[in-house]
Amino acid sequence: MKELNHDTLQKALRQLPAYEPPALLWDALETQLDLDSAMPVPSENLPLHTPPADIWANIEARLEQEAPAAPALQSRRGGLWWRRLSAAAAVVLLLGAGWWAMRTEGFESVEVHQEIVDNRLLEPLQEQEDAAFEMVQHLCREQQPVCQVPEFRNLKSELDELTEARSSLREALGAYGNDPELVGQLVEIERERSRILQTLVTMI
Amino acid sequence: MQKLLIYITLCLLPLAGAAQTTLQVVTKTVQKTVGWKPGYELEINGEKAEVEVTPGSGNNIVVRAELSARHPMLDTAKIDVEGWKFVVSTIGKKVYVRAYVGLPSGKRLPTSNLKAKIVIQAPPSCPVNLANKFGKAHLERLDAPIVLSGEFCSFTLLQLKGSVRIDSRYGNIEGTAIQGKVDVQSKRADVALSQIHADCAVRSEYGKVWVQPDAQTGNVWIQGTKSDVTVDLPQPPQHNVFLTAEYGNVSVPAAFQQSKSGENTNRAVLSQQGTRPVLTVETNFGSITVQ
Repeated sequence: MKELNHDTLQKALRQLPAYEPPALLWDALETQLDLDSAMPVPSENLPLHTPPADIWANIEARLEQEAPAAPALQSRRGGLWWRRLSAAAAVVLLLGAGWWAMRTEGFESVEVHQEIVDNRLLEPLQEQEDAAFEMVQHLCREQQPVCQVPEFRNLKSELDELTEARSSLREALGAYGNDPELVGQLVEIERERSRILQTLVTMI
Repeated sequence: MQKLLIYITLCLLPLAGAAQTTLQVVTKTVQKTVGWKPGYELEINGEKAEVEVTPGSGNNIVVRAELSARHPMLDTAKIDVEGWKFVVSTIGKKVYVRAYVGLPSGKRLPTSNLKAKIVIQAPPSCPVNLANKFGKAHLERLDAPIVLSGEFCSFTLLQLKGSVRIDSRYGNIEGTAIQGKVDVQSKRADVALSQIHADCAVRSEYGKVWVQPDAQTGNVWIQGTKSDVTVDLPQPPQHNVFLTAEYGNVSVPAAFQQSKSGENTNRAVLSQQGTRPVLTVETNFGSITVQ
């Protein structure tokens, strides 16, 4: 179609203001895309559509209308159509059986109850980091000579590894983690860190 | 009467000192059943989960998940429990079971303690691959190969007929009555294995290893880096045993021949007649004890 006022339109388009999307929008989109690509949409979340009840009646009625209109054709091609129909039915039956065998069934429920937790179990999760650990980090950031000593470096990297493990465990437990085994492990890591810290301090 | 009241009060005083917190626990329970065919594998991916896999009946995999959030405020726990995502799906020849905490963009981080308990019943001949963080895994009476990996996840394995491969960081491993080949790699985790009826290899770093070989155990190879290894030998011993500890002690019964190689390497050998499986332990900065 020919645009009658092409120049006017182009001019108007050029005068339209331009807007930049906020920077946060791209972060949100990237996060969402990462999540989507990491977790493909499960088939059970896809919507299910049931065909209207009268659709089969319509199909039957149309088949009946078309049947008497071409009796000769039907007699000639009857065998071929019958074979095609049988094959289609077999495919549908197989797919149906496959779906029936591999379908996912289930139920969901929600309930609420209370748990009493000994505060001593929660204390290790809320303890502040001892200042001595930061002192060691500070020394190495300042590239003090002691940080170049191989033994010190080995112990420091061991300490860093334990500190990372401690952080991820604390993050996983949150402020209300009441699993005695995991809290016990956190305490053990803390003990091991303290042992290494003591050795490092004697070397400073 | 007054004396009795004073007595009861005195008895209750220490209890009053032990402060407690009441947590509201909201639990969402989901159960799903999915069809299984020979050749299909089960792929479990958990986070903060206690996973249990045991044999079920028929060609189905039944998964029951209890996804919970704990917080002193009920409303917070109710919101946070919705962060749990639980997916059971069949893609190709793999049945995926995934429990993870998903955060829609713009939503705050959950402050509740989140835990999942996943109980799975699978056909015994279904291979299982499991990865979990911050929890536990218990697998029992399965016949197919099993591959496990975990971080802060302790593993308990009982009566498994297939091969077992484990990679664990900060999660102890306990295996009993395993008929297939065992391959363990662990870091900062303790390993305890008994009634192993095939070859067994353990590589441990910063942990304790305890192995109890018996007449049906095949070749055993243990490498400990900064790990202490204890071997509980049956009487009479069924294996030829070779022990080497660098910068570590070797403690063995009198039947062993002990020697020193250089200043820092201790060795001990138990050689017996006939063809026997071999048990080799090599450590550095860790001790070896045979009892």
